[in-house]
Order: sequence, then structure tokens, then C-alpha cells
Amino acid sequence: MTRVDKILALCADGVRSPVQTAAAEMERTGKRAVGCMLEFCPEEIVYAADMLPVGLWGADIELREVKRYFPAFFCAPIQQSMELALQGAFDGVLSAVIVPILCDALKSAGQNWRIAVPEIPMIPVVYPQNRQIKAGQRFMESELREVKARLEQICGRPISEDALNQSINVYNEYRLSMQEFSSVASRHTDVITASARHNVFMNGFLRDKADYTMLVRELTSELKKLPEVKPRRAVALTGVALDTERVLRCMEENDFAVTADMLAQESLQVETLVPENGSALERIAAWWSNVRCSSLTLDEKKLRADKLVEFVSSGLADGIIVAMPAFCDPEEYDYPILCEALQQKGIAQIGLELSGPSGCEQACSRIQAFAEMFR
Amino acid sequence: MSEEKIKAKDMLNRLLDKHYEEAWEAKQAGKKVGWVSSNFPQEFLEAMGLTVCYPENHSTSLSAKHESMDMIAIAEKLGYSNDLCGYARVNLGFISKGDCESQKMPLPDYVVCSNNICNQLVKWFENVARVCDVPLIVYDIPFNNAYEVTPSRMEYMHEQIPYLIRRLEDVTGANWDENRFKEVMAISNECGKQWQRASKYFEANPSPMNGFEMFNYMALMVCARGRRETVEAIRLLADELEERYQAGETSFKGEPKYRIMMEGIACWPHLSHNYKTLKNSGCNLCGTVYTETWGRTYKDLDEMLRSYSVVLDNTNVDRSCDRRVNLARRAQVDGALIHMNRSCKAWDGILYEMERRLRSTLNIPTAMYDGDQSDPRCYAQAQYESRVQGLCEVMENKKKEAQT
Repeated sequence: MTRVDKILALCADGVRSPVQTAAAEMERTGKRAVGCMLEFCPEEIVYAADMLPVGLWGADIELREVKRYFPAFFCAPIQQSMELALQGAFDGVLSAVIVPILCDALKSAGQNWRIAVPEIPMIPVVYPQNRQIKAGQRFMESELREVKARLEQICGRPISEDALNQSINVYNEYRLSMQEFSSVASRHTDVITASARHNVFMNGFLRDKADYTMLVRELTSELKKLPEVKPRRAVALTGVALDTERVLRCMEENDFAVTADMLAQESLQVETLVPENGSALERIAAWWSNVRCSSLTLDEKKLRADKLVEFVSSGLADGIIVAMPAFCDPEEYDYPILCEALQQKGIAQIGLELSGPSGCEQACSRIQAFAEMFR
Repeated sequence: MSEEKIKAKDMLNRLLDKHYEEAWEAKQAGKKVGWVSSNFPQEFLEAMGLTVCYPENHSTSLSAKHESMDMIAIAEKLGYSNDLCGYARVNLGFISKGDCESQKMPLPDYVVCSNNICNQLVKWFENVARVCDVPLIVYDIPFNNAYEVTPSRMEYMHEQIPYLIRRLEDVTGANWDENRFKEVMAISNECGKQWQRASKYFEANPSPMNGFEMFNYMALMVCARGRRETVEAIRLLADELEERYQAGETSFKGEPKYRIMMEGIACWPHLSHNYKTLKNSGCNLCGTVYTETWGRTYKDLDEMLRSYSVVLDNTNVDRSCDRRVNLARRAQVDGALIHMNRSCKAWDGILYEMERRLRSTLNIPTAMYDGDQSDPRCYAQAQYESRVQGLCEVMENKKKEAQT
């Protein structure tokens, strides 16, 4: 087994049972953990409090208890994460959960969590729409100050400016390491398959960032020693997450390789570095104003569509897969616009609605049909 | 001047027609026409003398006039999921078609929105801006996790005003007029007061009205609450209700056996079936937070902004529940009929909790039905009838228990 194989096996193990992975990481580092629900939580503040931020992206789980809070037609990963909490999966693991208020579903996710899971304190953070003007950045900063204060209560000590800046450094280093990995991985898709790529990204949500950055750098460096390959069917992903094992496997069975992405769970997390100037919280607020191409950030020109076209016109990918969790309205609004922009350029695309492993057969059929388009 | 006394309903219809006529006249004269979200602080726009239309009002109108499905079908063909807000699908379908039968509305030269109703609105208007290739201006009114509006939210709303005005001036060419703004604030306040007066009679016991009538007037509160003529129309409504109340009369046609409150946006495509089923069961609608929300009054800019911050669906679950409980108490309702409105995620996400609080705090029965504000496919008459029947049985039993 090569070193690359070993690192990829470790990442695959980590994803198989995210809660156990986070718990093992807590034991290894002696740190407490804070859940970060879905996209764009201010993880740097958690890390500065010497706690582990753990990404909550749902799971393959039968929905029972959560039906008391949400109708069936509600964001799949939110329902799954809350079901896990209601079934006690996070007991003894999470000291708090941060809920970023980025869409309507996340608003009620936070409110319901507070009522349904009182033993795990919920820390909300509302993101401004007008994030490019000073007023928006100041509001973002005030929300981050709130998060910091709540985390200080939980960890029982103040979070210093130094700790915050160090944490930002760790995160920026992590982002750079993932950017490089993503770029190198696109030339080694025989080894970094769709699943392997996803696993490497996902482990970033489950492990200590500083340690994991070293592991990712090692992986990238080992990959560089291998011969480069050109995949038969190169696709770029966009949307929230494409994290269903069965669907990823189906992509591999149909010779699809992921050569780029704009997924909220993957590259959008690492694409934008926290800028240099100002206090630590000002810097994180400025980071939010720089995030681009997400369905959750105000974008009157829908530049996301142009960026996807660029993926293909630059030769990075041959087609686009849009991965939307079931009942995700921000993505559902963007999808027709993306379709039209891609269609105008003659770029092949499909949209996958994903509701977890139990409902992925339709997605697999669409992938098989998509493969036909590449012949 | 005619001797015949004009009725509030006629005035309402006249003013709504005028609203669209003005928009068409402006368009034909080469002036810019904007589209605005319903709970946007209209005071800013009215003060600048801008001509605007309200797509939510328009979608409501098409839905009530059974024209929504045609538009929805067009939107879904364009790739919009049937999961999305019905108003948005109707509107995006309307843009694509460029026309409709019942209520014609000019396409926008710019769009303006706030997210205090929901975040979907921003996505919807973002798409309108892209499809129509017009500028989008967002006035951000952030969600309230806490019960009260925090100082940071107030600061943010204040600090955005110069940005909002500058963008409106740039896009429309109109100028900001501080004195006119104060005038519009005063008019809007008076309008809010008259709406509160009317709402008091809507909630009164015995009720002087068929509660569904209040829905009609909402359209005017959405699109013209900063205008003097709207103040007069709503004053007339309140006067009529007062008169009926004093005379012990009511416009409710059936035998009023139960007083109910309705939760959620109206199920416009099936409003007539809703109404008839309730009327035949002796249920009169005596309160809804949906209409209550337009009774906005304030003393100054600070209070005005706060009032826009605490609109429905922008408050935390405790405040949202208290609002319902207080209304139910005020209106002395026997039960609540709750619309699980497929369109409205912001509302649906806490609907089960609100139902539990209504039941546990007030010990009143509730019934929930499936429907949609625009998509007629989400509603089943039989389900609605059986839920209303079940609600009536429990309300009846409770009445009997109370008598013994």
C-alpha cells in the first residue's frame, strides 16, 4: 500500500462515520467540539477557542423525530442533522452548534434546534446581504462578536486577538493546501476518483485543521510524483454537496472524473482567503464580502453561470453537474439560469436532486444518461 | 359630488385599478417602473415619487383569478422546481410569457427588495434582474434570532439608508426629498392607524363582517399605504365596520357558530372553496396575523425601521408564537385553521411548533390542511372539508363542556 493509498484510506474511513471521526479527533487532541451546520460557519473563531469545528452535512438516516418540527418537503441535510441530534448522536460530542442563517430553511433550523435540542446550545449567525458595503461588513462583524462571546461562555475563557489571528493563519494555510490539492488532483483522476476527492474535502470538516493541512500537503506532494492522466469524462461540480457514496460510485462506474468544483461543501470553502488588514473579526467579515459564486450570496449578475462556462472553455472540464439537496430553494432558483447559460454555449449539464443514499437511484439514472451525452 | 355614499369596496377596486393604470402610463411616457417586494419600506420609494408595482400582489391576483397554473407551467418548463414559492413561479412564468389575461402589469426597469419576508424573495428578484437585465437594489433587513431587534440590526438598517437612496437616485434619476419623506411617513402612519381600527372590528365579538373581506383590502395596503387616498379607503372600511358593529349587523352570510383564526397566507386559488366550506360549517374568520401585520404605526424613523424588522417570518419562534397567541386571545377564537402552505418555507419551518404553542397555551383545537398560495395542485377539497369538519367537532365538544 502506497502512502497515497494510506492517506486516501484514512479519509474514506473518516467519512464513513463522521461523528465517530470527530469523537476520535476530540480524544486525540483533547479538544471539545462545536458543530457547524452546512455552509460558511465562522470556524476560525471556534478553532481560536481551542475547540474543533465539526461540519454537519446530514447523514443517511431514517427521519422520525424530526417530523415533529419540519414538513416532509424541507431541506434534506438540515432534517438529517437534526434527526441525528434528536436521536442523541451528538451527545457527549458537541458542546454547541453554530447555525449560519443563510436561507429560510436555516432560519427555522436554528429556531427548532433551540427548542428541540436544548442540551446543545445553538449559536446563530446572520449573514448580511449587502456584504460589499461598510454597513454590511460592520453588521457581519457584530454577528461574529456575538459568536465569539457565546463561544467564550462555552469554553470558559476569553478568545484573544492573537488566538484569532493564529486561527486565521491556520485556516488560510488549510485553504491554500486544498486549492493546490484540487488543482493537482485534477491531473491524477485515476487515483483521486470522485469519491476520493470528496473524502479529502470532507475530512477537513472532521479533523484538526493544522494537522490535516500537513496531511493534505503530503498527499499532494505524493500525487505530484505520479504520472498525469487525462480523464475520459471530466466534469466540474457545482451546488451544495455531492456526498452520496452510491452516486459518487456511479460517476466512477461511468468514467466520470471531477476536475473542478464550485460546491459549497468543497472548493467554495477554500477558494477565498481571509484578507490581511484589520482586526481578526474585521478580517473574517471582509472574507465573507469576498466569497463569490454561491447560491447563498447576493449576486444580481449571477456570475456563477459565467464561472461554470469558464471551467469548460478553459478546458478544465467537459461538462457540469449541478448537485442540489432535495428542497434547497437557493439552488433551485439558480438552476434554470445556469442551465440557460450553459445551453447557450452548448455545454452538457445535468441537475441532481439529492436526498441522501436511500433516494439516489434517480440521480444514478441521470448520471448514466449523462454519460451517453459524452459519446 | 354624488349624493350616493361610496362604499369602501368600490373605492378599493378603483384605487387598485388606478395603481396599475399609473404604472402603464409611466411606462408609456418613458418613465422607469420598478418592481418591489411587499414589505419593503415603501416610504423611501413614495418619497422619491417612484412608480412601482408589486409582483406579490400581481401573483396573488392571478392566483385568485385562476390564472396562476398557466404561469406556473411556463416557469416549470423553464426549469423552476415545483418546490419553489408559487408567487415566484407565477411571476417568472409571467415574465417569460410577457402577458396575462386578468391583470396586466408592465415589466420592470429596476427591482427593489427586502428579505424581511423571506430570503427566497432575494433569489426570486435576483432572477428577475438577470432575466429582465435590470438593476437589483436590496435593502437588507436581517432575521431576528432574539426576541427584540438588536442594536446592531438597527445600526445596519440605518447605515444602509444613504446607500439605498444613492442607488435609487442613480437607477431612476429621481431625487431624494427629506420633507416629502416625513409627509409620507405621516400618511403611512395614518393608514396604519385606520387599518388597526378596521382590524379591531375584524376581531370584534360579535363580528360585523365575513372575515375573508379583509383579504381584499390587503392588496391596497401592500401597494399604496403611503398614499392619502388609501387612508381614505381604509377609513371608510373601518367606518362601515363600526357602523355595522354598532347596529349589531354582520356581512357573514351563514349562522356564526364558531370564531376561528387562520394561520398562513391565504390559499388564493381555492379561496372560494375555503370560504364556502367554512361558511357552511358556521365558521367565521375573525383573525389572522397575515392581515394584522399591515397595521404599522411609528413615531420616528427608528420605530419605522423596527416595525419593518419584526414583520411576519422575520422574528424568532417565541415572538412569532406570542403574536399568534395574543391575536387568538384578542379575537376570542374557538379554534385555529392552519395552512401548511407548500410555497412558504420561512413560515412552514416553525408551523408545527406554533401549532403546539397555540394548543398548549390557549387550550384551543387546531386543524392543519395542505395547500398553496398559488399552485392549485397542492390542495384537495376533500382534505380541507374533513379537516374543517374535525375542527368543528372539537370546537362543538368544547362549547358543550364549557356549558356543563
